[in-house]
Amino acid sequence: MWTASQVTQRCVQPPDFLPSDGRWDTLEGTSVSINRGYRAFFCARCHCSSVSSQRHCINDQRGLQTASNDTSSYSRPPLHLETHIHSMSNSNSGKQQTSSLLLRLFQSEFFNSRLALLYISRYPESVGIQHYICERLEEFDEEELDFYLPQLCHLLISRRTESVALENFLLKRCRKSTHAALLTLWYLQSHLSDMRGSPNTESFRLCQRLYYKCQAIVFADAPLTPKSDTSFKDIFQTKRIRENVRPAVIGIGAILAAGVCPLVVETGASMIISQGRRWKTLASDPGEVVEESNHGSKTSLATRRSESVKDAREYERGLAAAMGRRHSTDSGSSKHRGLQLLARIPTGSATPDELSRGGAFSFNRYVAKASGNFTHSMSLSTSASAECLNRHSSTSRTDEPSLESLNVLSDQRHLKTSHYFHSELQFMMTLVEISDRLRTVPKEARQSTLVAELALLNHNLPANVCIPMWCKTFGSHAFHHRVARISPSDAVVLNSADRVPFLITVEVLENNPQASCASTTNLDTTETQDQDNMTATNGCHASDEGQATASLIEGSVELPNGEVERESQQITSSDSDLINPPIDSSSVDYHREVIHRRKSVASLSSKASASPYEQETFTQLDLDEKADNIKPIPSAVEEFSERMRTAAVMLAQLYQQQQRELMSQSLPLSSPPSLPQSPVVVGAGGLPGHVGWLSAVPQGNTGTHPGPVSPSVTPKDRRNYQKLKADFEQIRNRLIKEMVTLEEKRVEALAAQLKERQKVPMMVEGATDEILPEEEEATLRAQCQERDKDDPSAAVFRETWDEKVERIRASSPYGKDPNWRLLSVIVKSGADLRQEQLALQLIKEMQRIWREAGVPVWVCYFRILITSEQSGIVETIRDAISVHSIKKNGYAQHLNEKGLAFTLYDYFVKEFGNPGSTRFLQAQDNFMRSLAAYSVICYLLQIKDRHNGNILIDIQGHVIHIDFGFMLSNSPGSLGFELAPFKLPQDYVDILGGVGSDKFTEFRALMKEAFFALRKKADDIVSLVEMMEHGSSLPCFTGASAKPSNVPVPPTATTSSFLSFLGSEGDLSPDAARATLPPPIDTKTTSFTPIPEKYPVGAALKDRFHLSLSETEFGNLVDSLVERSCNSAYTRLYDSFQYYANGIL
Amino acid sequence: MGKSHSKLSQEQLKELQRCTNFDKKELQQWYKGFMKDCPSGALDRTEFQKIYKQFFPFGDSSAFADHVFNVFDENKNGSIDFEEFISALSVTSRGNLDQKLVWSFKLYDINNDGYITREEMLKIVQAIYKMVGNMVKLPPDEDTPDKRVEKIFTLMDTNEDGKLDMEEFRKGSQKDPTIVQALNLYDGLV
Repeated sequence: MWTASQVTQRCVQPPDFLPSDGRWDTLEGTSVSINRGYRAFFCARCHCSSVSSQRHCINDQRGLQTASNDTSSYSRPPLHLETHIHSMSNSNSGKQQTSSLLLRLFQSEFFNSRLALLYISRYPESVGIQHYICERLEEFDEEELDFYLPQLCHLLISRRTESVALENFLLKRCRKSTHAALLTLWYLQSHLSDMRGSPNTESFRLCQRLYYKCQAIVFADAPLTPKSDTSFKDIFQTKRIRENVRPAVIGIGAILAAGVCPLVVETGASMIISQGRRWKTLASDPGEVVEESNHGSKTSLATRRSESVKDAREYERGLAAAMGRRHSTDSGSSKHRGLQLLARIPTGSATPDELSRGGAFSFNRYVAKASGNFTHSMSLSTSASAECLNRHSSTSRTDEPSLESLNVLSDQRHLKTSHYFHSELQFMMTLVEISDRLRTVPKEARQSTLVAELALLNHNLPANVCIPMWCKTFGSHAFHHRVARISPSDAVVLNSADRVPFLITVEVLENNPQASCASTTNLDTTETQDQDNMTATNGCHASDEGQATASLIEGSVELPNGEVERESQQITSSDSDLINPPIDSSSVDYHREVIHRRKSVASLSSKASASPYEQETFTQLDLDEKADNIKPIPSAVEEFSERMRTAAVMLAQLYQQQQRELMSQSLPLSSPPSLPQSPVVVGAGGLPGHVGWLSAVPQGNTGTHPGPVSPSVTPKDRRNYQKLKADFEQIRNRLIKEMVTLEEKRVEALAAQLKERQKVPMMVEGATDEILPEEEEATLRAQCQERDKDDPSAAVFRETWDEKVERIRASSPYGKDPNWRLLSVIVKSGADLRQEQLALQLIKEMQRIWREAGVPVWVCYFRILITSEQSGIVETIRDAISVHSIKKNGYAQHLNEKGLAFTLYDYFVKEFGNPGSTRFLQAQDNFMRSLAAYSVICYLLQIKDRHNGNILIDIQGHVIHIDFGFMLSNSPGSLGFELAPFKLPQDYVDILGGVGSDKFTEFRALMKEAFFALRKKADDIVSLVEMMEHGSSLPCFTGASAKPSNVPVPPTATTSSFLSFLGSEGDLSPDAARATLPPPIDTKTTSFTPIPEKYPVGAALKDRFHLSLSETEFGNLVDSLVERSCNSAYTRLYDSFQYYANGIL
Repeated sequence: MGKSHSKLSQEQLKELQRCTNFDKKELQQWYKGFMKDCPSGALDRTEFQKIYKQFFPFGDSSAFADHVFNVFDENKNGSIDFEEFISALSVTSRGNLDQKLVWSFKLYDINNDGYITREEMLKIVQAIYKMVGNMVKLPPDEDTPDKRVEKIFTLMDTNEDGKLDMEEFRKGSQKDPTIVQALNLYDGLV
């Protein structure tokens, strides 16, 4: 029974947004009916606490519904009901109600995906709840589920549970949706790499097992489970259960009851069976195979399968084991599949050779590769599919028994799906690797290198690859788009201290069902080199006969084009004799070759350098050679890109070779002293990031850990190493020099072109969180000169997104396609974007809450795609420019009055017109609405590092915050002087018309409104954070200021020089600055501030909602927050610091 | 009883091979699994109820768990050891329909007098409904335990004496295909 104090406590603790008892009347907007509802609710609670009959709980439920039906915006009751449940579960008498109440909550209209997540995280121990919720998860929108994938993956790995429900749910999702499979694969990979330090933990094994299973789903050429698991029959037939006693006890009980009441079986069957199949390690269980393969990767670096057959076998065993249970336990067959799978899993980005030859992502190339690499164990279906595709070619492998054509078609479809995954992974890796390579190139050559790299990549497009988060395959639109081209001249390198992200515009062709068949015949052959039918990649399970037919048609269409290409193959093969692939040549040879190549660079039309087996066996198969190899090269632009491409290929090859040779040199060393990619130092074989986890799994025998050089290193080794490095350095410099020259020529040509066209397009876009002057200079050098001369009043150099789209559409060979679309993304490497993603998820949740509550604030959500723990793709914010750039540009154009600062207000006036004008007022209003939202967000999430490079203003005057590397618990270095609740400098206040203005009053009111709305749904926000906090390594949870973005430089200036700067800055009032000085800054401990005691981040977040305050009290609090933030000296100090340290205005 | 051993002894093995439908290897495997899940070598009533609670959290499973426990616990010593467990598993997974029904008769015949009375049946059905009843929407003609018992007796009690004997129970259950399907839950899986 409950004690009196317990009851009181329960009653006193109010529904979070409500004031505690006595304050009902002060509550604004609380209707009588709500009060009634709540009273009923409270009453019912008392009943429940004392009586343990179910009837009383029904009253409870009714009260609850009265309350919530009356006011939809006050939909907190169910959560409170849950709090009630929670507290009850501590008492003995309440136990039974506990869960029946829960069930009612789940069955109520309030149940949504967020609640589902919350309860998955809250009840890991209850198998029944896990299964129930996971079953219910399927009711939700696919897009919603994909949005919460990071949470689902994190929950799966961080919570210890006996239940397999979530695991099964995720796998099922992967089987259903190609995108979900890819995203899951990437998330798991990042998790694996997080945990690589502890490969013996349960979590690591679970994650690894799931990762294998996911790969098996992705790359298998037959569906692993033909139908969904839900129906009885499937459960009966697929696979046996393991020796799990608990589910067995339940199962036996269910069968006992079945004689009279089949009910137990009906409700529990899927749970009983799937739990029964739960992975269990017993001696001599096939599970041990995986254990062994773990061990295998310890000793080997299974990243480069081609390099080591042994690795391949071990890796394959892991895979085979992962899927062995699905197929017959016959080891032969699963081994077979393992090998086959292995051949399909891309282990790195496309090689320079593949890229330069074109068609790196082509289907036929893939088939050839998948079967060619392992001819000895080649699967029937693979060869048969290839056969089917190339019916007219006479391959030497026709002795395989032919299968029924239907079978072949089905297999082929799955082959196509796996091909999609293969290309997609390779494509993403290639993009990320470009960023990696750019890092090794000197700053001045980066832009030109990027252009060249992309030109090279373009050579392989269009291909059946997509940008997953921008590609909708849900519901009616079940077709991937395909990337057609990445405009090299519109790519921009964004330099930062240690990383080189870049911005690209990706041209995609949206596929629609009708066009997909027609397109293969209608379109010009030069444009549709890639004949793969997209319909085939439409989800593993979308298998209908229509598709099979489509594949068939396509197979026959391929013929004429194929012949053309075969000719081209013959022509180009003569070239390939001249130029051997440099991969295996020594550096000296390579050097010679570089010179040789440079001479022949103009004459090069192809660098086909196929490996022998491809030349011999797969000549006919390899139909995807670009036909434009034999086309005359028309323009100077073409020639330029051709040469650039050559240079890029060589650079890329050099890079890879260097990595490899330095690696082999340094392998005896305990750690390669000068390789910077520390997370994957050894083992990755020069493939940073994406495959690092594999190698980074235990490194037993080699015993290689990044650390001090072991004594076994002889000076000779080191000398060799140094020499090798120097050689590479030299070659690289030559290459780069050539590229820079080329780029200069290109820019000159561009400038000349621009002179003709008087209009000057500019291409600066938002989301440039790495804002350093080089970026603009490199791309805009020519343009800037022009502009300054011709049109000094050309406000901000900016081309709107729409203009840009039109310009690129006009210049693109694919622009005429009605399904042509342009995407703009930033590719990042070397940065963990998961925290960024979490921040944006939270922002999106808030956006939703505000929308539902009708609060007219404005925020900008942008998508982030995680491809590994240190790479990803970020959506570009369109038509926005950083405040830093605005100011810089203002000064550059001398727009400020002499002796005064160029303020945002000046910019607004210049951009939107006089303060009284409609345009200005509109922009001011937009600014105010977005500022209100971001102020609340920045305070709640404690977003730090708010310098002007991280704040954008868009074309309509909205403010947009980017870069969430510091939030919740971490802040940049020891520079903890961003003490204002949020950033509200004088600049902003001026735009609103000063503190006394109506707009400012409106701003404060709106901010309160926004805050109140969030308070009512505080749990939606807090729970999302809490479930990610548990077991997380993200810096925002650990409080570690591991990776400051722009701030790592310790200030050379002392506090006093800050002061003098504050005094001298035009728009600051020196008095205010001097009045409130921050505590002295310790310049020595800049990189890490230990947090004395750990207070949960989620709890701290909840505190900031101040749920114990009444609305009036809270309103006052918000006012004081605004006052404290308004023109805060801390804010100014931080901006000043950023100016001194990083040149950010 | 081999609590401290990780393997079954030869005698135990022989005995179990004789009275269950499992072979040597399977028995060893299940024994390992059993010892891993219940390191003490036996399941007592409380643990048994806990397992049910874990799987059926939304209702009150204690009564049903109790009844099932009684069927498992053949020697009535208050705990289920491996032999008792594996025998139960053997019947339910590898026995034929008749064997399963004969065995499950014990669940309903609470006083073990060879007959299932309405009261006995009602007790079991109530326990089942308490455990899972709120999870599914039941058809109106059997949405209470009483209605379900009534329905069962109409179906099975052919001599209309108000109680079911083994023969009636066996024949009656096989009339209903969903019951047959449910009884075969483990077929081919264990």
